[in-house]
Amino acid sequence: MDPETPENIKLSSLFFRHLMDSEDKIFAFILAIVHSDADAKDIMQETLVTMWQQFSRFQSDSSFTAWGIGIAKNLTYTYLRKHRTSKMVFSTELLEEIAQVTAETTEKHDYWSEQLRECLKKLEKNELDLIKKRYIDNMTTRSIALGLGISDHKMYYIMANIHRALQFCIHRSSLTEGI
Amino acid sequence: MENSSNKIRLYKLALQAFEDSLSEDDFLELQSLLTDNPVNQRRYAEMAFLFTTLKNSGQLFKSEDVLDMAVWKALSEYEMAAQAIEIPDAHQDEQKKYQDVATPVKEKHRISRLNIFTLVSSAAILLLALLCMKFGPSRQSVEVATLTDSINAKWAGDTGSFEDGSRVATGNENLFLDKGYIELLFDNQAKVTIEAPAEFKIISEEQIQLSSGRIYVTVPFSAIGFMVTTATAKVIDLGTEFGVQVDMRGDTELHVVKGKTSLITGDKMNKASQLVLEKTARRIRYDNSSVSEISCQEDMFVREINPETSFVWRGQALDLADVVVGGNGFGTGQKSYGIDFNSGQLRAFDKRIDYRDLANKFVPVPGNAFIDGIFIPDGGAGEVTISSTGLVFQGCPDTGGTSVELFGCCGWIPRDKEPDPILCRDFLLDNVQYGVSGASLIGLWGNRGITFNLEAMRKAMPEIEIKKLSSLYGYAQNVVKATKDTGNNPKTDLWVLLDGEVVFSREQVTIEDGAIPVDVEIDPSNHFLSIIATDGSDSRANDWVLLARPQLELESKDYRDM
Repeated sequence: MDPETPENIKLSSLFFRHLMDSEDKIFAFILAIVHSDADAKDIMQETLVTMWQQFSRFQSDSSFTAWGIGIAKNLTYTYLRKHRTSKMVFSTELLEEIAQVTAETTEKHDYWSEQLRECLKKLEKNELDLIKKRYIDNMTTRSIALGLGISDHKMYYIMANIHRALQFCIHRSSLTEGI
Repeated sequence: MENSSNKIRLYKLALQAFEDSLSEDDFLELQSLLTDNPVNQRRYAEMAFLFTTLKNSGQLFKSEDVLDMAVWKALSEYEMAAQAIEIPDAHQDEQKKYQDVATPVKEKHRISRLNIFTLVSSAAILLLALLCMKFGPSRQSVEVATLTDSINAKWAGDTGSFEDGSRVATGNENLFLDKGYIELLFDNQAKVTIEAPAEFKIISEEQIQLSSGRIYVTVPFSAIGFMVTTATAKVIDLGTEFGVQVDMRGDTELHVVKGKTSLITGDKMNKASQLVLEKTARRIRYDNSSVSEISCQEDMFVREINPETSFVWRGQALDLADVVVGGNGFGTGQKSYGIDFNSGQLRAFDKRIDYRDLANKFVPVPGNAFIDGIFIPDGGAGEVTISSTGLVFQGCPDTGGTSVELFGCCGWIPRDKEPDPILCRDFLLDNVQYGVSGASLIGLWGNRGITFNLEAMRKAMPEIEIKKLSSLYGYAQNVVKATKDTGNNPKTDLWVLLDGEVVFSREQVTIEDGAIPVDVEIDPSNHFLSIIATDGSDSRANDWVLLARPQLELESKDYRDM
């Protein structure tokens, strides 16, 4: 596609508008299947290129997220087939189940993002600091553990508990909202 | 029944996986937890969303408001009025629980009675679900906690005997801790320290029932709502630390050390609820369930234990005078003992000694890990070394370079013993008597320095943080009174150093200055604390100066800081 034509400028604008709403959902879908942030980034990049190349075929009355996930799924499976011997890959049946559950979960993602903001406020300061170190400062859990002088093992448990608390908080909110 | 430790394992493994930190064994475990388990699959998928959203949404972190307590208040109020609840099968899918809950009518942008009603209804529905999930009885025994530490623990009865590292399950039978201390870490990270004799029962991951004895509970955010029940009371945590005692009569005492709790008392027909705030306490009588205010005793409960060093900490300060006389800082030192400047050994005060030719000689104290060494400072005689690592007191004044008697003098007087009438008499500072039961002192006199090893203290108490030195410094007025009458007005200087840097000093202190407060904040990075008295450049004669109640204030370390 020639990016300079007015039609393509309009198309790319539309594409990116859709993408703003869907990118996280598609990435989370890929992440759940390949269970590796680094691999998910590679596949996401390929997915975005493919989505853009095929965007003219996208039906505007359908779900952009579902369409993107469909493309991501194919590319992810191709990636896993290619790397099955060198990477730890879930069994075929489990991959299918996780793909299905994750695709279903995307529907709640917008609500989750909204609630997450409120639930972060409920963390204790120490817990929030750890989450900020991990996600704002982009430190790995291992490097946070190293900085604090504790074992990786313990720090992963601490982080796991904070994530579980956030998830519980979001579910609690969804109960009151009837979602 | 789902094992809750598996749930935490799932979150941990998911995080490791997303960060590419998964070993092959971990991967197989993750796969096993997910295979044929739709609930875990959903949790895992949600973790992927959570991870992605947090990673890409810096703006989410803008607000740092504290927890809205309304829900928890509502929880206690609901609990107060609750009727018996039909508990669904604990195996039931969580999704099913959500579907069973009716959705309240929701109206936005209008503050009216209807809104309030809706809020209350929502809270009630939430509470119903929470109660089903949190407080429902278990039909099976489920492992929900780990016995992480113990000191001399002996169990009685046939219902359980646990080693360190044992998993502890819910059950219908009481457990009897006959002797010693244990620490239980629940899977939601609530920490419960129990002191024998105690009889208790683990009800669930969020609840422990105390029949007799004392327990201390530390609850992080992930475990808010943790509940301690007794025969007469329910204590619901609202993010806090608190102790609960049930005595032989069955009376319950609640002492809230940090944060706040909700206390529910009374029977089903006549329940009452109240918030119990930080540093307050309540007694609930067994015979009539009446609640009365009592004073909060912060050092009543064992909060931390360390099996390696046998430390048992009740929240009290560490007494440096007790350390000087050979103790661990919590009252185990010996009366009328001190440290010999020649040998660095602990010795009884059985004779008067004058120390000469020892100026600036750093004397290690090998028998006491908490003391790095002692010294007689004299800036006029060269460098004053104040630690085994070679730290130097820059700017130490010129002194006579001599001292007298053992370091420590009366030091700590155990609570149940009388002071030594000859060498360890009591001293007055601002008309308060020290060197008597419960009021310790270190006799600094003139030209003495001591360096405490803070790092060694931290090693002995890894879960405790040293926050501050607090003490009073001044002349023992009942000793120097006579000399004052003769026109002699002795002077001394006090110096407090952290890692060789002077952080507090008072020079030319006289009898008229009375008791001078010494307060020094201590940073976790500080290794050595040195306290030095010099003779004020007028000889050490009549320098009867002392440190009264020399204490290091301690705090429990948050486990997330460790």
